[in-house]
Amino acid sequence: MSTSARKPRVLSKAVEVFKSNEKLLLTLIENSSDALALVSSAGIFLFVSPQVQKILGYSPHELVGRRTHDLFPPGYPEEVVEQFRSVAETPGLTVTVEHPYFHKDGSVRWIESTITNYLHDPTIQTYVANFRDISARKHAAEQQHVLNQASNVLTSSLDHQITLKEIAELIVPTLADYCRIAILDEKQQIKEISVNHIDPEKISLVRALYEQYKDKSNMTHGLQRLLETGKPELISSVSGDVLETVQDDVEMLSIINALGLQSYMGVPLIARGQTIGAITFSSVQPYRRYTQEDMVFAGELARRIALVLDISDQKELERRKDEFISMASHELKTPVTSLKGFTNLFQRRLAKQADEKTLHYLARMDAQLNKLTKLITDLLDVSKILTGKVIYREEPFDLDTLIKETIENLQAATPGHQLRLNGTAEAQIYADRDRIGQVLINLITNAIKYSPHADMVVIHVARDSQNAQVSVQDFGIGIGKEHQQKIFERFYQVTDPEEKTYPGLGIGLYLSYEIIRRHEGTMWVESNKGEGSTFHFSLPLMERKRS
Amino acid sequence: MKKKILVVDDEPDILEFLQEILEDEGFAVTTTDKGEYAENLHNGGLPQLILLDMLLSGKDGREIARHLKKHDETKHIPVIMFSAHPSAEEAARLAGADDFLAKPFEIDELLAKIAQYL
Repeated sequence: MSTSARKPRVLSKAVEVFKSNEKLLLTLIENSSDALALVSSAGIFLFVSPQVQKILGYSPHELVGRRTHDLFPPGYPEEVVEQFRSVAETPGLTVTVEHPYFHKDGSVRWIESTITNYLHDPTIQTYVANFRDISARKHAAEQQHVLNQASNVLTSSLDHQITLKEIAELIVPTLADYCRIAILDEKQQIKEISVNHIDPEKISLVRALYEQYKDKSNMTHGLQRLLETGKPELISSVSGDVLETVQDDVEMLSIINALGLQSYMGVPLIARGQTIGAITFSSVQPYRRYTQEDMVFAGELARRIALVLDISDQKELERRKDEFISMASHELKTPVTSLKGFTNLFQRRLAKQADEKTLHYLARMDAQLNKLTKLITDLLDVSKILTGKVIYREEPFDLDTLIKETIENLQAATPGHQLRLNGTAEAQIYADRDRIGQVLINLITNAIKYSPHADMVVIHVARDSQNAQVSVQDFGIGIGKEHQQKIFERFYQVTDPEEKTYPGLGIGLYLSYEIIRRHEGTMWVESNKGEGSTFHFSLPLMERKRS
Repeated sequence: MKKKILVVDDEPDILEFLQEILEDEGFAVTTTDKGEYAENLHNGGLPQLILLDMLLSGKDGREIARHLKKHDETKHIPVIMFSAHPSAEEAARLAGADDFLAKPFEIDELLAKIAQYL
């Protein structure tokens, strides 16, 4: 006998054994991970394999003879009903359906059933179904979906009210039938509340009921309680025990009854340790009961909402602050314009009378007004940089000429220090000339200010194949290592109890750093305390920018 | 004949010192805090130069500049625009201003600009 001839014989023998041995058949069925069922044309369980006990809690003989419909929870999804209908109407059709189904314990499980219509087959004449429990997978996927969508919604808008409404709409009906998101104001009062109910008519009903009892302070459960305590709350089943604790509370009972509340959970929104709001989930479906795992999900959602609300609050505050600075700078300039105008008028009139002493004082007044103007302009610049409103007018220019001009102008007003220029860049720069001039002025005036006992500031200029580099070196008080990283931050001031204080707003270096950074350059400092400082900046050459 | 300058600003102090200084310099000066005045200039009373504040209460100086530059009788008159926002120069020129001066300004700087046009 050849090997090739023996195989079919063995196979066909196996089939024979299989057919004749019911025990073997049942063993196979019982060891399948799915449960198997035969269902009559009238929807009655004729046979159910023992695995059903693991999935639905019923033993096979508890199910046989019962209608499959008895285990369908109310409010069955329309598209599922449609799929059942199509398999009933089409002989030979196989469908795979995801649907909710009652467990013996009253909870609802998600089942994936693969159902084939064998009613037309004379030897079978039933539906054949195999099914498995997909509750965990289904629920996790729904939660993940809501989390992802919520993140999108939260990051796409900074307008709370719209955002929260959209989130409430995401949660209902997937994860709750009724959802509230409440936000507190600074006085811990509810500032806004977004409500969504699976039945829109109930939103106004429930709103009215909450309106009646929102000021009551002795709440034992619910949103108000949650906002007060900041503690999450889970009532898996709103049953006798819970109802007993609120039986004296007519409003609470009326709300529970009006909603048909079955299960409830609520979590606080916490930002930096403060309860800033809360989110609640309520279920009116007997098959949806919240669990500890659901609380974990709710906690994660709350964390994301709180984070974004906190950030948008911060941004709003920043925006108002910047708007204020911008407005204040503008308002300050008008009186300065008048003061300067009258000062100039005096100067011109007195020049004709040759009153040298008064003229000298007027010049000092005018110089102080110029300082004031520069401070205001710097403030305005900071606010513009922060709100992204700075427009850089870039043009090609010769760096050496700008440096020379700036040094000449500053030297005229600087009697105590010699401003010495070393080297040349011999380079065209493509940048905002006025802004780069502003950086030079800031660095050189700082060098003068912070070296009161020195008599010289050196400006080094050099270039390599890529960049032009400018360094401003002073021989003054220097900067301790611990401050060197921070001096480019806005409003940073070196405060040193041993040193005399140098007044200023702490914005000149921040502005300079930002201007250089926006031109794709870099700025850094080398310094030792007591040994002077050298501020460097480099800017890309125009050839490099063009290429 | 003295050359006529019209100054438009909503701050009385600014109008006053400009009037004094410009009159000292030998100009005939008219001042107004009403933007509409500048829009209703007619032949005979036309100034040779206009100093115009960009941010007037209730009126945008740029509108006035656009109006002046749109009409045949006034479009040849040089307009120097002021603003407390130093970066407003571009906006001023876009509205048709011939020149720009950031507030606060040096009188010498203003006089040098006026000298370019008169």
